[in-house]
Amino acid sequence: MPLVARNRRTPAITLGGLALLLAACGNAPPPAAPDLPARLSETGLFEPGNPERLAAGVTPYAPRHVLWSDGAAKRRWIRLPAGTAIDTSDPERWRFPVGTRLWKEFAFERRVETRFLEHVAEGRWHFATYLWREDGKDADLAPEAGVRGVRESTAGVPYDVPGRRDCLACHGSGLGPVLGYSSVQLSDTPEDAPLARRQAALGYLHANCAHCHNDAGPLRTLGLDLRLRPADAGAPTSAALTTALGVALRQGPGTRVVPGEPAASAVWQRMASRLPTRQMPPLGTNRVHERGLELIAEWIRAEGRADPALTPPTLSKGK
Amino acid sequence: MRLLLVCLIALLGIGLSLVLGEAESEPGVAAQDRVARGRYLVKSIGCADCHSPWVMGPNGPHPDPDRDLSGHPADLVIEAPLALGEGPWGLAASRTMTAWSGPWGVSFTRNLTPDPETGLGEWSEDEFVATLRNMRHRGIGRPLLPPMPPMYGQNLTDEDLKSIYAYLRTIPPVKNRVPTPLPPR
Ligand code: HEC
Ligand code: HEC
Ligand code: HEC
Repeated sequence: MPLVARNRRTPAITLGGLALLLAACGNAPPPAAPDLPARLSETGLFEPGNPERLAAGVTPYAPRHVLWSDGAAKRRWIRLPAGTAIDTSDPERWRFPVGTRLWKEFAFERRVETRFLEHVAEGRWHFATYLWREDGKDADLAPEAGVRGVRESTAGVPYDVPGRRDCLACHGSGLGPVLGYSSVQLSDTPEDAPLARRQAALGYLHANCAHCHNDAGPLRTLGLDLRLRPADAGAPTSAALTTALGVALRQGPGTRVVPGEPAASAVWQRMASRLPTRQMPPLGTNRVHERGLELIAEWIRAEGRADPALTPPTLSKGK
Repeated sequence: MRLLLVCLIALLGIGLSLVLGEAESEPGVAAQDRVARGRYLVKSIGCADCHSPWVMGPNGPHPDPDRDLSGHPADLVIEAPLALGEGPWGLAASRTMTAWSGPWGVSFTRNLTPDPETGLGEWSEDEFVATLRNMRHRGIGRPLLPPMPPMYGQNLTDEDLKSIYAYLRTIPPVKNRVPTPLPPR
């Protein structure tokens, strides 16, 4: 079976005229769109008429471990309503006050989309993404179903803007709604800590996989928990190690991670594939993340050595 | 070829039956009403057209009642998509109506029985509803391949989808591990 197929375009999507035909037969109206601002300028990110100036109270931040989105350059911001604070009493699940807004911008040379998350009422969040106009003056609400191939992330590889249901696949599956503003993501353990290699790999899996692979969401029955917890610090008890190292696949033959052997490890194999039926993550990317793959390979090799955790890291952090 | 025609007609039929099935959701429906409603929907929409292997009987081919909704039989091994070449034909189905070859490769209908290892036994109600709504494997994974119709998730109410799930929990479990889809040539 071809496990490694890089940069292959989703055949079901480009060739699936039949799928389209079937979809067209449905011709159902999409579920009613919530009351979303029509333009990014209405979400309060920047000062009216000037996308280069952040509005008062909007603060930039950067998570420690980032999601790979085919190489998009990203910027992120948060705004809490005046006089409110995040409830951090549970370090594994921060509670954000009603009125919290977060934005994340995706750029390939120029701005392409800015995603928006708003806590509109206790426990209710709105998800939307805005497509930047050519002139860069404002961005417009993207259609509910997203847009395929708005741009190319690199020659020949289309970049797809996700639909609103796709937002929920990642932001509504156990860890969310907010994924990158958390104690793990904002911690500032020094880079050269002895556990850095393992930590970097587990951080990568946390940011790229744990929003689906955790012990709380719909995939919990799979028993693969790639979530990094604040207390873990790369300890052997980290769920990612106990549920992956030497653990047989749930479906079919194979092992999740074979210490010392990246190419025999399903985690590596599925990250190395962009066949729609194999690839991990299954959405949000059309291109293998070579540096991320190498980071995971280095880590898997290290886990096969006598003292994996203490082997000094040789790689810089993934993009 | 005759079977292929049959399936195309079946596909059209699905669209029609859905138009008829637009019930409003009723809060607090009793569990057994749900099962009955689910049975009615599954039987009328015809999930078995694709999800049960067809066999030949005295009156022609029909879905095998002993393997009801158990998906593509694991012992019918298919290794590659059919080469269709030029011309009007776009897809082909196995005689069992459970394996489908097209531009996407080969898709195999899944085991919808409650068998815990090979069917939907471990699936939660939410996961089932999300799968049909989002047209993604297990609700959040890869996109589902044709000819699994997207219309169910687009048209049926939550109550209907939950009813289908409730009914599928009550059918006899069949152990049958359906293969993963094959990529296109
Ligand atoms: C493939 C999974 C995935 C999809 C699909 C996805 N996101 Fe995210 N998103 C993430 C992850 C993981 C983070 C945190 C890591 C980062 O920022 O790099 C994040 C971060 C964000 C943030 C910054 C706040 C936060 O949660 O950290 C916003 C805003 C956001 N996403 C909005 C959206 C919207 C709106 C959509 C749908 C249009 C969407 N996302 C689709 C995975 C996803
Ligand atoms: C948007 C949700 C989502 C994200 C993100 C995601 N996965 Fe998955 N993953 C799934 C689903 C659904 C399955 C089960 C079906 C399958 O095997 O395709 C799965 C299955 C797997 C399996 C097989 C597990 C087993 O025991 O059978 C591995 C290994 C895996 N994923 C690795 C990863 C890795 C590594 C990442 C991050 C680089 C990742 N996944 C990100 C949804 C996701
Ligand atoms: C026209 C043929 C056809 C009909 C009719 C049909 N299905 Fe399917 N179904 C498929 C195929 C093919 C797949 C496999 C798709 C794949 O693997 O991507 C599938 C997959 C599924 C899955 C996904 C399982 C998983 O592993 O993610 C579910 C659930 C499902 N069908 C339920 C139903 C129900 C319920 C009905 C009736 C209401 C139904 N199907 C009717 C062809 C059909």
